[in-house]
Amino acid sequence: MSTNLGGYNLGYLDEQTKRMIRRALLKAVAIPGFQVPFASREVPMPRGWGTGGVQVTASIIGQDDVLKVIDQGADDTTNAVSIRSFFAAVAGVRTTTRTEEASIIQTRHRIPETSLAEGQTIVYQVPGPEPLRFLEPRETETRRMHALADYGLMYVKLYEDIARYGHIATTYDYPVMVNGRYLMAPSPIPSFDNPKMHRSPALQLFGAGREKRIYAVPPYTDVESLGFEDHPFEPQRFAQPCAICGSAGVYLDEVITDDAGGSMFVCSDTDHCERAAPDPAGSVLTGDGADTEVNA
Amino acid sequence: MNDAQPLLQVSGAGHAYGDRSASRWGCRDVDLDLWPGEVLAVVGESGSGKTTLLGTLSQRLSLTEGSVRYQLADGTMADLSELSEAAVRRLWRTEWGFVHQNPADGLRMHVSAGGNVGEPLMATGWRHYGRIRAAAAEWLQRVEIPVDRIDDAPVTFSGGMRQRLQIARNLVISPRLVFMDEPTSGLDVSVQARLLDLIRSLVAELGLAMIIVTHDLGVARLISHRTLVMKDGRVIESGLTDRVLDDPQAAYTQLLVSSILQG
Amino acid sequence: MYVAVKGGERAIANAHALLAKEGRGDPGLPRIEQAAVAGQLAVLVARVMTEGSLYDPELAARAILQAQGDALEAVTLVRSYRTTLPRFGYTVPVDTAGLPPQRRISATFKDLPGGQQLGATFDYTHRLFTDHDADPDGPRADREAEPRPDMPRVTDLLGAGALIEPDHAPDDGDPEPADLTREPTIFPMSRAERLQALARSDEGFLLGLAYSTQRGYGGTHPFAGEIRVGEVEVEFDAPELGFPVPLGRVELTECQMINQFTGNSATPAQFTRGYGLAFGRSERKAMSMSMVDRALRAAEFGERVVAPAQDEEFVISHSDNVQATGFVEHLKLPHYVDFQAELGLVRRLRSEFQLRMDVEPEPVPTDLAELTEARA
Repeated sequence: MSTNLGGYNLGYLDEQTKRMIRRALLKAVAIPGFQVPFASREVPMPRGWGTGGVQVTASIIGQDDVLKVIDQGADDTTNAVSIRSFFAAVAGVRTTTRTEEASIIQTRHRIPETSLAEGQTIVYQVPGPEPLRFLEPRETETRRMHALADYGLMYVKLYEDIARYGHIATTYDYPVMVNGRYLMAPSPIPSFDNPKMHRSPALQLFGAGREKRIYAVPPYTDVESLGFEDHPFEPQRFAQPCAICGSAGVYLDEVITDDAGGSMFVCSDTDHCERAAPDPAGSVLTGDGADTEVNA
Repeated sequence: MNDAQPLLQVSGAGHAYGDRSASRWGCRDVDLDLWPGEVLAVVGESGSGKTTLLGTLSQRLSLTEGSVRYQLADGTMADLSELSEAAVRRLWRTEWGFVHQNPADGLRMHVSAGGNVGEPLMATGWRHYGRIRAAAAEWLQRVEIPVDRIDDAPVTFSGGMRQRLQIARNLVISPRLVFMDEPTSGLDVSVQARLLDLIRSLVAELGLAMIIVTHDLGVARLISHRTLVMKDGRVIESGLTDRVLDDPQAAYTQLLVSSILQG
Repeated sequence: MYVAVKGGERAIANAHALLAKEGRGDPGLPRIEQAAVAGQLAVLVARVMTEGSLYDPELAARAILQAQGDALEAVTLVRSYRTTLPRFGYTVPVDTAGLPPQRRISATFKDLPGGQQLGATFDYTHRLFTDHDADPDGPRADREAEPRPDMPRVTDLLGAGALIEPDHAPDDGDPEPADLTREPTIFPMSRAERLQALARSDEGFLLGLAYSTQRGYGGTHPFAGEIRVGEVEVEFDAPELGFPVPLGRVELTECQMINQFTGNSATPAQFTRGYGLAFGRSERKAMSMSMVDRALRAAEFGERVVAPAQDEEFVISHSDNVQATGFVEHLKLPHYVDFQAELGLVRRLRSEFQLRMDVEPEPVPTDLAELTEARA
């Protein structure tokens, strides 16, 4: 029996697999918001760590592409680093941290602050593609609900939230209606980011590797976050600006600074923060001695 | 609305359990016409086939023989077995109701009363929270559930209150046809009486058509215009309720009627 | 002044180095040889092959070493590698009665053609630590191996008298096998697809489910009709050649459970089957698999589905341990963006609650009060 590990194909996946995934992507683009089942392959990272996003990116990436990978909005979080270096190794592509320079952006849990442009593709990593899953655990039933546009149950959940809390209590992975037809889970981006999806000039692709589903929102498609007429969707907001670069109207991370409960709020989007910072030396690459400790 | 045709037209309807060759007929050869505003009771002992008939008419069980035709809102008669799943689902959302014997089967037990009554509205496109809640509150009042229970879930309700909630949930969309499966069994006698009164007044007020299955002739007498008596899967007698109960023709009906304890 | 620290890449490189150091253990001791793992830890190797869906004892041994003994990590390695392998086609269905088995037992009959052959088993050992220094090679067999007599399958014997359901419906034909690793999972599944999923399922998960069926959560009253461990011939089905090509032998464990009889007015009573199959010496897996297989056939026999082991979507969706561990362990990844969103909501609801209670808000550290979202 052979244990000889030969070389890998460009982008890791074999051409037949890429073709299969591209066919699924085409179907997904043709039916915005609809979850297309696909034969998700094993890739050299665990399920739950972005295998869906990786398979989508691997199927569309070419040598002329420029890839940006972010996790929690940052290029430097360990998983983003790991995925970026994977593609640098197996696809030989140029990588970047600058949003507007990237042709493909693979992301976990955020949409960049810099508006996306026509020709760009953003690939979302999706843990749970089914927006109705926690209301109805059965796949056979949720499939039927989508086929018949039977989404009353989702509105019941929103109604219950308002009755109980006075607000809709979903703050991330906030359900959206795509192209007026399919209910979709946008992945665990904070509701703050939802408006960026509406009529975006970019192509938005979604990969759920473990659940084996692909879906898509073509450019300039309506994406509406659910709500009631008298309790409309309200994206979360931050009252204060970033403590480093001063940007307002951006998503912020709360960083605990001391053990007395002190904290400060800084940009989640590291690329944005770096470039908007008034003092370019404000963010410093640490030299040595970082060992295994990382402040992501 | 076509007045010349009944709302529901059933001919030779039958449902067989198992495969045809060695099957057992749950109900067979049933004919009936149901008109708007009419309440039809289907009575019989357990095993008579009345529940099977209800299941077959409401599309929960397949029709092995015969036909069931329903008058759509535009007046055309549709053969129910030819409708797509989407069309049938739409009928359930907009024109039909089904009240289960056990209210837990017809409610979301852990969703608030308001949510339960509001859901059919939300499923048909209502998108104003305040108006949904107001409609739900109005219906709670109509079925005599205290409005301050609107945010409580039916797990906290008594059996009678759950049943009234189930009725509200079914009637909020103003259906044209409602199926009821032994809605009062399992409830205290006094609670039963109140519930039946409520059903009767709502039916009259809304001009509903209803098919109600019951083993209790008293229930039939109280709220139905016509009665079908079933035994061993077949209809053995049908007619105006008062006539069937006061002047039963078939021997079995006579037996049923005479075995009721008076009082 | 807060400084945004970078260093993800450096951190990962250092983590890899630390992992390698931990994995080497005491540098004064010799490294474990891959062949030693394959030869002396065969049961673990069998598990990694079975759940990795790849028969290659040396590769599985290598994975176990690289994974520092983490069975699921080893399975993940094997599966990732498997995905890159080219596919030529399918084998002819293996004949598990074709070769004399190393082990063959049946709980359903006291004696049967071929007899009860215990083979290599832990079953009757005393679970006491043995003294390796005193007896390093262990007990010896007391006589030469005799040629083994004919050993027909118990289920074939029962099947001849139609006492047990046939192992496939007569009109099934010879359909192309589905391949779960090439097609997306869609429920409901056929039995063949389910068996494929169960074969690569986590042994512990299936064991727990099988156990539950014995304790009242569903229940099919199984008897171990036959458990066989041995080698089978693997032949490649080459349509261009017109005859099958022998590729070699693999070691398999097969379990056929015989379950409560069923029957209705049209069909007379018959025993029903549960089937389990695994690579190498994997009895626990094969037995658990056969019990869960039968439990999942509840709908076929008109049995009420009352227990988790009978729920296809529940069992199959959660039985793949590579998926399971990936998702469970992914919680280690940063989730602070979503957590921030939840924090925001909770703070807002709490401040509204305070307003409603008409009570002075609790004093909070000034910087936090300034920075907390204020709701008008």
